[in-house]
Amino acid sequence: MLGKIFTHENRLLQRDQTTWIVVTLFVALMMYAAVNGRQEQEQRQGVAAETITAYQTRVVEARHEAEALEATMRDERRSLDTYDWGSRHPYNVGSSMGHPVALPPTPLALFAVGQSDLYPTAYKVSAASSVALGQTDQLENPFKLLVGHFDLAFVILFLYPLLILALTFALTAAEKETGTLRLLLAQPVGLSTLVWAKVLSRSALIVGAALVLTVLAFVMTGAAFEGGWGRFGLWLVITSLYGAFWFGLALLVNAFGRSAATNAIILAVCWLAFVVILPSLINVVASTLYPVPSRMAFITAMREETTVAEQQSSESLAKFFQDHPEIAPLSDDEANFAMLRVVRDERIAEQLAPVMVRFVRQQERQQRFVRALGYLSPTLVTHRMLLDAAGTGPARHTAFLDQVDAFQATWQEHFVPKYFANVAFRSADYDIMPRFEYCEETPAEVLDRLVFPVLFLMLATALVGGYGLRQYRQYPVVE
Amino acid sequence: MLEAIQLTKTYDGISAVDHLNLKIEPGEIFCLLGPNGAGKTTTINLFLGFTEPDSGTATVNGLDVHQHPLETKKHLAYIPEQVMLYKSLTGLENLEYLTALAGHDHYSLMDLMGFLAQADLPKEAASRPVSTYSKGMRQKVGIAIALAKQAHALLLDEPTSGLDPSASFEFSQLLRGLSEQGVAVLMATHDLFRAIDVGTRVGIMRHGKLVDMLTTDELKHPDLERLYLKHMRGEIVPT
Repeated sequence: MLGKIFTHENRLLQRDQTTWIVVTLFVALMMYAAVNGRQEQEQRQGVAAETITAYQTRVVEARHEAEALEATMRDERRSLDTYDWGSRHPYNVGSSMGHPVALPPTPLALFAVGQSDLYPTAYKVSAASSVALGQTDQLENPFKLLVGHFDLAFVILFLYPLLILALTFALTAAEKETGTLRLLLAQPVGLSTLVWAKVLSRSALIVGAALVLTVLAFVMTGAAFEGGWGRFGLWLVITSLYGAFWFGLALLVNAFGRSAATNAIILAVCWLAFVVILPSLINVVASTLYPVPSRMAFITAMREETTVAEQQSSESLAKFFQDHPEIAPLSDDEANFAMLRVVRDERIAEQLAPVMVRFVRQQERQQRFVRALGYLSPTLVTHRMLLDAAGTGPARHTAFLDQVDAFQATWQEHFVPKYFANVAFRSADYDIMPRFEYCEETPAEVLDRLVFPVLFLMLATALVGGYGLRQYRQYPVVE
Repeated sequence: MLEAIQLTKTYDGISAVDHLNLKIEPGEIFCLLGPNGAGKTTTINLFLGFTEPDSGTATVNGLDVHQHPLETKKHLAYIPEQVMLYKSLTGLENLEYLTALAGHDHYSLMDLMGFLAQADLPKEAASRPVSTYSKGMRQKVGIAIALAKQAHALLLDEPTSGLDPSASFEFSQLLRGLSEQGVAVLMATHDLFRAIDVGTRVGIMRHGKLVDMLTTDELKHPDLERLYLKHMRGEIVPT
């Protein structure tokens, strides 16, 4: 019976112009989003890759230069311990050149590029300054920050529900209004069977289209599948679940037997609430409850501290050497530029530490608050899941930052003693300096983060849809 | 075959059907007469389970409609006052779908065309989309759907509205044929002439109550008309 109605509903959908408009629109939006995401992604990836390649070339060049210098020095029988500014100066290698680190994009990054603006994925690690000091110059177009990029995640989160609602707002209301429902229900067919068949045929169409188009986008944009299978699978599961939620909601609204026009209005209000109003409201409340100090204030404070620190650097250096007698030079004139910079940066970092901590803590509180309240809107929950699946979310980024911090410490440990020891950076040292290897998050970690929100969305769908089916038992076939 | 026992339904305090008792045996054609709002359509809706009774029961083939909503519908065919079909489908497709739902997915194209012909639908119309149909043509598809279902009981709500006289006549012939096959028919109608012509019994309904019930054997049209008007004017107080 379900099969017969399902086939019949598909035939009706096929002959309905609305279906074709909706499907065409969906195809166009998804394809545009894929191409757009690809472009954004290439741009971003290009910049990061260029920086890293440039660095690698520079290291090789500097090493050759150092080798050449050392050869000359040997010829001239000079001590290899002496050095000038250049490829054999430890400060030049450890701080000026530094070590660029980048978070490699996942194969799915082009599906949800939006958030990578908020989280810069490339930094320069240097021996003398902390990561935080280096990233203050990251600015983004505020408009894009507000609406996000037009990528697949945007289409799925914002427009896909609208298309679903366009096909479901009159699930049974239309048949009731035209009168076909009476004739249909005069046959031995339960209303719930009819509703199931209608929901299934429509979801097969639109969720099916979403899945097929996602696969197409994945293939079309030439994204590599290696390592991306798991993430891709998760993305498809989340897309289906999110669609199922909207179908459930449409079913519930239809179950009360109101007119198609009333259903359309109610569902439009739901869409507005879940997709637009709640997310912005939660953000406003979060930033009011836990205001984060402005970036501008932070930068100003940093500049002021830098000036003061520079003025006081010789004084600080003396103080610093009092604190660290083990590395204190024998005479004042050995206190060279590199040491001054290290001391200056350390002082700045020390002064700014409370501001930084406040900034980070507030941000954490804000994020925790947003995450908790995010469960009010399935769109927010899904957004987080899609980002996690694509690997462009905050969790993977935080893990990356932790790795960068650890690397920074290693790098500092490696170079700072050299600064203070006043030893030359030899060509052979190039081969043993630390290198950053990004350690990708495991599938288990990704899954672990997704389990709760996935279960939550399933439960929400089951509750909404189940209540709808229950309500359908009292559906007024005739007025 | 069809039985109403103390069947009662009120809408917002106004009783649409008021303690109705009615029994229609196989082969009987019972014509329910009455003005608009007398409760004829509500009675049919109660037999179809489209609305729940406040008290009393409607049974089909001995089964309570409320308790066996799907089982009872297998025995019922229904033609509403306005047969509304899927406009984007052809008449034939509509017939095929609704009879398949009724459990008859074994009919061949010939069988289905046969039912449409029996209902007097022009052959060329069968493969046109219903959106091009007149009201009468839709009504004929509705008749074909009811015929194809081969049900034991037929619920008709002003089935001939929109039919031209010859089609109405054909329909009466069909009903007589079905009656001979043992089908129980409950027909709500305003058409006194048709009621006398085809009905075996007539019932006059007013304010949800069956105020009179007669067999049509020795009844003439003018007699029925006079009786009907007397009831409507309240000149006869039912006992």
